[in-house]
Amino acid sequence: MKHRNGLSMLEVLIALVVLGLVVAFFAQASHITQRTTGRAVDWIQEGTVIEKTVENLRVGHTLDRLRTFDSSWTDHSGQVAIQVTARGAVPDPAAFGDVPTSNLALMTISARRTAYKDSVVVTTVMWVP
Amino acid sequence: MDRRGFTLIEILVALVLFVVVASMAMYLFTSQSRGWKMESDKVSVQMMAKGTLDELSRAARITGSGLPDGMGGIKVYGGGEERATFVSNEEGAADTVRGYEWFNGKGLLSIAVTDSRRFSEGGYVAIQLNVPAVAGPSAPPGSVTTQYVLPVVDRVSSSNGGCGSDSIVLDVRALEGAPNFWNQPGNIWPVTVGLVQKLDSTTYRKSNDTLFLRRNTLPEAVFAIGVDTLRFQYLHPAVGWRDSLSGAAPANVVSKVRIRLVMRSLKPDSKLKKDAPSTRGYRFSRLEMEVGLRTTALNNR
Repeated sequence: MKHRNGLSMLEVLIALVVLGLVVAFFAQASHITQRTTGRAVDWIQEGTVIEKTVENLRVGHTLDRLRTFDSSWTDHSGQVAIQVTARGAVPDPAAFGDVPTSNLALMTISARRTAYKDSVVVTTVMWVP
Repeated sequence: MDRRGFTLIEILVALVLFVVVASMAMYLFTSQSRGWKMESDKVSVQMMAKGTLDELSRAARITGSGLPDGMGGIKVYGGGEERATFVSNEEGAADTVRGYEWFNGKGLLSIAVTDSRRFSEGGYVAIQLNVPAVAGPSAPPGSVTTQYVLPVVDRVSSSNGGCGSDSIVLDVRALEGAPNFWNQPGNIWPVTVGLVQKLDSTTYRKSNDTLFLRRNTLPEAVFAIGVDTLRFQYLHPAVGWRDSLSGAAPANVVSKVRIRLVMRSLKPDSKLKKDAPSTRGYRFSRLEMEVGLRTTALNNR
């Protein structure tokens, strides 16, 4: 007579743990993909707000005003509320080689969806006649 | 040899377990798939909105370029919504007026130019005309130089493309409403050696959820589908942000244009429609851009 023991409790538990790990891995991967895709929507919104901010800074500000600019506000024009911060500075002449920096302002604009931690940050140089 | 096989109970338990596990897997797969599709739809709508907004911003940014002060700019229809025309001289095409000839009774004016190929038949030009300083049937010959926009109805090109024999024929009936007694050819004449410039116009027109594009005299083409709302506003130092600049003086000091765009997904989602009836099953993306304009070059109406 053939002896048929079947699976031991330990084997069943190990199989369950392996199965659980595999399912958890795929669930987590799918969750991260969804979250990243969702954040991509916010990045487009944040990028658009930054573009709008650059346009607004470009028009109607003096060189001195831009270089000392330091302001934060919340933009509600898009799908979600975006926290915007814009700061100006005097550019370092060493970074521009032979290009005179007397009419340049270094602007850093960051935007992030309210309640999120990561921001989209853009640094640009503006020429003011 | 023992060949018992499975009992009925074992098979039933195995089947129940299989159904439970398969159901859980299906549920997990379906919910993940739905979530992924939802996020994908959102990104797709956002990308369409961004692309459309970028193109509208580009048109606004170059408006008035290549034209003298007071020409070009933006013309808005319907209280700032739905339709706008941006005018510029995209190729910088211009020529010098070398002479002119009136075709009395036909409302046509022929202008001698160096190269008529710079202009397009059915297009428009900006031209300097001398008009009487005072309106009225007995007004003296003009001494005021004014820019006018006139349609090109014909081009005459010399066979060898050489100088001196090219001309463009302009339709001056658009001036019939002008107050300066224009319709007496002796009282109005083009400024010789003055510039005549080609005008390029780009019109965006929204109808239902479709945005149409018409550039110059080319046929209208579909530019974007899924446009829920399109709205233009203008910043005037005297009156602030307005949908229309009608009556705002002076007219050529607009400093910014604001474009508000709401795009929606092309197909409705039945589940979203059930969960949020106000959306009608569509996903929306709202974007806004403000574009700085050259304040001295625009004549916004």
